[in-house]
Amino acid sequence: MKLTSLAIKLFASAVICVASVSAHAGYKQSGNVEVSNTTIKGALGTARNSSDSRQILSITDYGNFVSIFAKNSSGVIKTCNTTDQTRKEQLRGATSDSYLIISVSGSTCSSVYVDNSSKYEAKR
Amino acid sequence: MQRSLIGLYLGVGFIAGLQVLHLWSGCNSVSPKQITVHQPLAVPASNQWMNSSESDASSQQLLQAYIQAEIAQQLEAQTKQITLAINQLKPAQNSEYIEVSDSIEENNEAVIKQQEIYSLSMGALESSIAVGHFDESNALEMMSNFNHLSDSQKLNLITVYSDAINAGQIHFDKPLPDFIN
Repeated sequence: MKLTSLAIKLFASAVICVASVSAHAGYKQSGNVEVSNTTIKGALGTARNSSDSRQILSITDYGNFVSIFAKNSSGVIKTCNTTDQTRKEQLRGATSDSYLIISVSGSTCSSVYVDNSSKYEAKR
Repeated sequence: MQRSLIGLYLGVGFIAGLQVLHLWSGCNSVSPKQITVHQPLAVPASNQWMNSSESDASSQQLLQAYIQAEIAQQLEAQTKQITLAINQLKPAQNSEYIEVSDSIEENNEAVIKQQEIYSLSMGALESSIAVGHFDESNALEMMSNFNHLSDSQKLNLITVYSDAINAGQIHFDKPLPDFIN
């Protein structure tokens, strides 16, 4: 009798463990902030949740233009602005879970790519 | 206001014209008797009518005097109406002009004030770039009156800042919106 009870408890524990693992399943991709002379990349959620306390990725809507500010884990900063209507709308469509790829020319965001996907972590 | 004044002039002029026309047509078409009065004058060679030419001339003079008096009376009345209307419009026009003038003056002051704020913000930024140092106090100085700037001034300011950041002339690791009051 005791053996049967123990078996049931073990089975229940196994089910709980499996359920717990499946809750964290799904394709994931890191979105750490990356900056170069011509590019800004990163996910807002990853930047927020990063443990280095340096990463930041900001989209600021000034109305007539939208500005991007990025700092990677090494503290390197890059910023750009756009007055282009399409790019402004793209950036306005970004969420806190979005991944951004921005091409930078001087201080202008010359192209904008916004990826809203479950693979990027949400802000915690 | 000028349009309404012009409209008033035109309206009054039109009414005066109609009245003159009315008088004129009334003189020429009222009765066959009056028409016969004019005919002898038009044909002075007719012997048959020569005897009555003196009385006709007298009637015509009377008629002309009447017409002149009537026209003068109408003109005087219309002039009075126009003068009255102009006097009523003038104060309103003047007050409106003063209001518009005040509005332009206030607008100019706002633009001048805005330009001063922009110059101060840009000056603070350019000074920081010149010395290669930009910190929170500089950011506060640059952004404290940001909301008072025009759209183009905001863009210019942020563009100069972004150029300097990307070129490594200054280093500031906080987003500028944190410093907007």
